[in-house]
Amino acid sequence: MAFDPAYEDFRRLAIAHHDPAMDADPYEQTRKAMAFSQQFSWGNDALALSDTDRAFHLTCEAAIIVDEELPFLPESEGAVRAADAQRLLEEALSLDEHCFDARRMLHAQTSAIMDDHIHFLEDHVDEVEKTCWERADRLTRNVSASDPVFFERVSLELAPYQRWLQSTAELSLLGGRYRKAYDIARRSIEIDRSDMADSRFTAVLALAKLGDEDELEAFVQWVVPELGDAARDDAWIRLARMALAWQNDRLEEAASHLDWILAMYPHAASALTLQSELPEPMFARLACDPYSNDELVLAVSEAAVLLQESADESGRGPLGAFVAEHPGVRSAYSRELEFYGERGEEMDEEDGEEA
Amino acid sequence: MDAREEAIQRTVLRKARELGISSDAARNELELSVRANPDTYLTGAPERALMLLAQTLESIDESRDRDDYLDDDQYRLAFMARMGTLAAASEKALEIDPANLDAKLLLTIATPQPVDKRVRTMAGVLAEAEDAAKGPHSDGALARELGLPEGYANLFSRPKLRVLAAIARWSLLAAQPRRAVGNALRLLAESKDERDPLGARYTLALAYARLEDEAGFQELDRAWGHRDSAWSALARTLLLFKLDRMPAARRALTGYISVYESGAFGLASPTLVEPYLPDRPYFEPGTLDEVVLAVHEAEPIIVDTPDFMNWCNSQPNFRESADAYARRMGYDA
Repeated sequence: MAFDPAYEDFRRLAIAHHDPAMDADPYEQTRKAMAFSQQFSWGNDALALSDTDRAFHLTCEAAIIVDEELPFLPESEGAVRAADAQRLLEEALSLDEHCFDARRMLHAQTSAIMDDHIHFLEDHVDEVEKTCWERADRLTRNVSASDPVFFERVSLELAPYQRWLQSTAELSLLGGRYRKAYDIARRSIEIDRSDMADSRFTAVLALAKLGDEDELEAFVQWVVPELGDAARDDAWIRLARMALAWQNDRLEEAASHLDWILAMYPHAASALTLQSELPEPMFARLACDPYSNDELVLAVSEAAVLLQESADESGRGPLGAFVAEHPGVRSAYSRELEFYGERGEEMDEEDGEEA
Repeated sequence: MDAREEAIQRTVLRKARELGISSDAARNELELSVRANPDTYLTGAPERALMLLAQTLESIDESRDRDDYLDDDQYRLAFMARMGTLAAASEKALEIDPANLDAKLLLTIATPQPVDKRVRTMAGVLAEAEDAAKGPHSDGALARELGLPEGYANLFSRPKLRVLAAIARWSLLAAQPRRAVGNALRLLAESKDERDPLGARYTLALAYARLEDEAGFQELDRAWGHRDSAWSALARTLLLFKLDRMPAARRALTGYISVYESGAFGLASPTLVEPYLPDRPYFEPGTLDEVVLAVHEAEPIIVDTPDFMNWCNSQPNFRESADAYARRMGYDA
């Protein structure tokens, strides 16, 4: 799940290049598809056939810069790349005023106060919803609902709206507006029960902040069965349950959720000990593999609203300290450190040989 | 709490029973004697322990007078010394009266430990006390024998109520607002005193705001009136802000500032407040003292709502009101 800008760009362009007349000729279809893939991987800017697709393509380039490059760049280089991203977004908007991802990301970059940005998102959400549905309708008018293209088109056109909602939900959670974060996350899931936007992650954290155990369980019952193959337990649900159990002084139960996370995710103890906070993504939540260490790092980062509440000077809240000091986490963490230590030595030796 | 006064009152109750005094006049006579010669009369272990705590708390209070002359490091040392004194006195009080609940509570507060562990220790102290209260030689048994009413009016119930109040307040600090609600509601029910002398409603208002529990907050509001306290005014503003009803939040903030002339100043410049020993210090309603305590208790929720202070500062009259108050009082704004 999750939105991957490069992949979505590919899907958009592929569907634009898709010629129904070719469907009858599998050989020609395959040949064209391969040629297209190759052109795409070369980064051919001429692939976009419309201003809308061109605008989205530029937005994706900006998204990759902002979310995937900037966090790893030194400040001086970062400023240059951030300016590049801003130019791309402005160009995208000039090509398509309804390129909502570009509009959202540009506004986020220029809002000093989070609250202003949230209100901007809310003020325009109905317009975004209406425009996205209209586009989906228009582009599928001559497509049969049983044609796979129909579903693909609708999901592509609604994606910016889902991201708009998900971003509003996420910022509301960060801003301390938990009821609202939950309501908006639910709205996002209601339009897409497969929850491409992974809004359920934001929803369960908001419910944990609201201290509402019954609602959390009811929500999980409501959301998970509809997810299809993706139906699974995840770090977000476990962190939310853990927080609620801890709040209500059921420490053993809280610990059992941590043990589950330790068993399911590789190098989980490092993520649970360091509790790093990642920068807020601009385009959408970063796509990671299920049950990967990256996914856990992301979940723990988003759960900072729980882990850091009432933090002392150390920056760690009582729940964050409970997690880091859980005996299972501590012993696994020292094993992980040993592992990294040995690996580190091995790598040093390799470096030495090379030199 | 006024530990000294409670020690005296409890002694009067005990002595009156020993001497078989039942008339009011004789009882008043006895009270005068106890007040005049506390050392002679305070022979019961619980009262002696309480008096020891009273003296310690008084001396700690006096030592605070010198804080204004200390730099940060010196202040930290002075604070740690106070907590050390308190822990030692509490342990001594527990040697005199091993069941002394106030001493156990104060010891928990004086002992450095993570805040959630502190809440858990307090809950343990409370559970232990409830078991003990069923015993034949407990304060509970004495209160039953004397036919004292239940709740805050009963001097022997107060230590337990203070523990409940402390659990509720510290739960809020420990990021466990649900637990704060549970304990504050219990305190309200068990106090059986419509004045709510331990201020359970203050903690409740803040916890409801944190949990965005509008129904709970409104029920509290109906019971206590809209303009009850700085806690409820602040909690209402926070609640409406969190629910994103901005026009109503703006009105709530304006209301708070207009009722509390020091309200904006207190919110914009929070003061360091030491842990309550063991309960909320006395304050004159409507004063800066009230605002300082309310802001101190609301602090974890304000921090949990990152844009709240930005928003307050951008509201018309907020900065002006804060600056005007600071100028009038000669403080640095």
